[in-house]
Amino acid sequence: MTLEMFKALGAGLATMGFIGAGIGLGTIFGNYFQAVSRNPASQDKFQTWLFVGFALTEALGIFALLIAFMIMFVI
Amino acid sequence: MADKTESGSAFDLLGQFDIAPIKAVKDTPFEFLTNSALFMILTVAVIALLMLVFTANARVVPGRTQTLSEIIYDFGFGLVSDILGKHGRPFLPFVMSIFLFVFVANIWGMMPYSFTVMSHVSLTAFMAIVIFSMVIFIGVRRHGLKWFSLFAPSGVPFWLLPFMIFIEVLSFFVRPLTHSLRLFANMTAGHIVLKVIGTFASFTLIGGIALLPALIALSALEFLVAYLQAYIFALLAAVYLADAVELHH
Repeated sequence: MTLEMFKALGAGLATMGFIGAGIGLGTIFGNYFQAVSRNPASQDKFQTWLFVGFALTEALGIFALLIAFMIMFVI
Repeated sequence: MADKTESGSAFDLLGQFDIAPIKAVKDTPFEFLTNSALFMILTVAVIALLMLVFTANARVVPGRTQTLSEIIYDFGFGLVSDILGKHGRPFLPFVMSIFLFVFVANIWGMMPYSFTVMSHVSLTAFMAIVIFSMVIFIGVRRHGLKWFSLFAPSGVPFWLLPFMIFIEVLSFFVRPLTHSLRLFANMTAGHIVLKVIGTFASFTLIGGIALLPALIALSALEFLVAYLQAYIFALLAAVYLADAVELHH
């Protein structure tokens, strides 16, 4: 077992942070579709904030990606 | 993108993001041109064509090209007035410029043998830091020191306030980080996926034919991502600017 192997292993494990981001994005879009199918008139009102929520949730997954990049290329 | 690169290994995934001087302009005054700079110039040229040339002799009843510019303008106007309200009118050119630059650069990046400008974190980080500094500058200029009450949400019990201020300050200062990394990571990852599938397809004839539908679908998805990430980048810029323009209590 060399350091390179542990680095690859650690980077792979760090990407597991995307599990949480995936669950969060599923919740956001699922609830958006539910809200719009109950009240189609609300589509325009929610659409902008849907993408804001999407971006903020995805940010947490991106932190995990950042850790993976740091393990692979910085340390 | 499906072709093997010159550098030997078929799986040269990151070779497409290398910044290199353009060979054609060597020993001329334009020697400073790199492929990144060239595609940024092309991006600005397309935007100028859309926004300046197409509206050069504007009519009350728009023609085909003028309608295109008006659709793009309406889109940006709707985005800014949704988030910033009527106080956000001065920021419309800024947000529009950001959206158009990122969007056209991403679409240029989808052309075969082209260069994806937004696949470099140095550029996206620069844009995010400019937006971040603008938020602080405009906020302090409009509201003075009162602007820092942004970090203390109202209606919080006093014993919880130190924690809330800590979390708010932290989440404020990671904004440029996530703002830049989102665009960079999405563009880079998408192009690497296309390259991997394209390399597989280029190995054998049967494999190439079998993977053609997947490649078309992935390319279509990449066009969607190119638009969506540009939209989100501009949308978040507007959301961050909203903090500076109006203080909510």
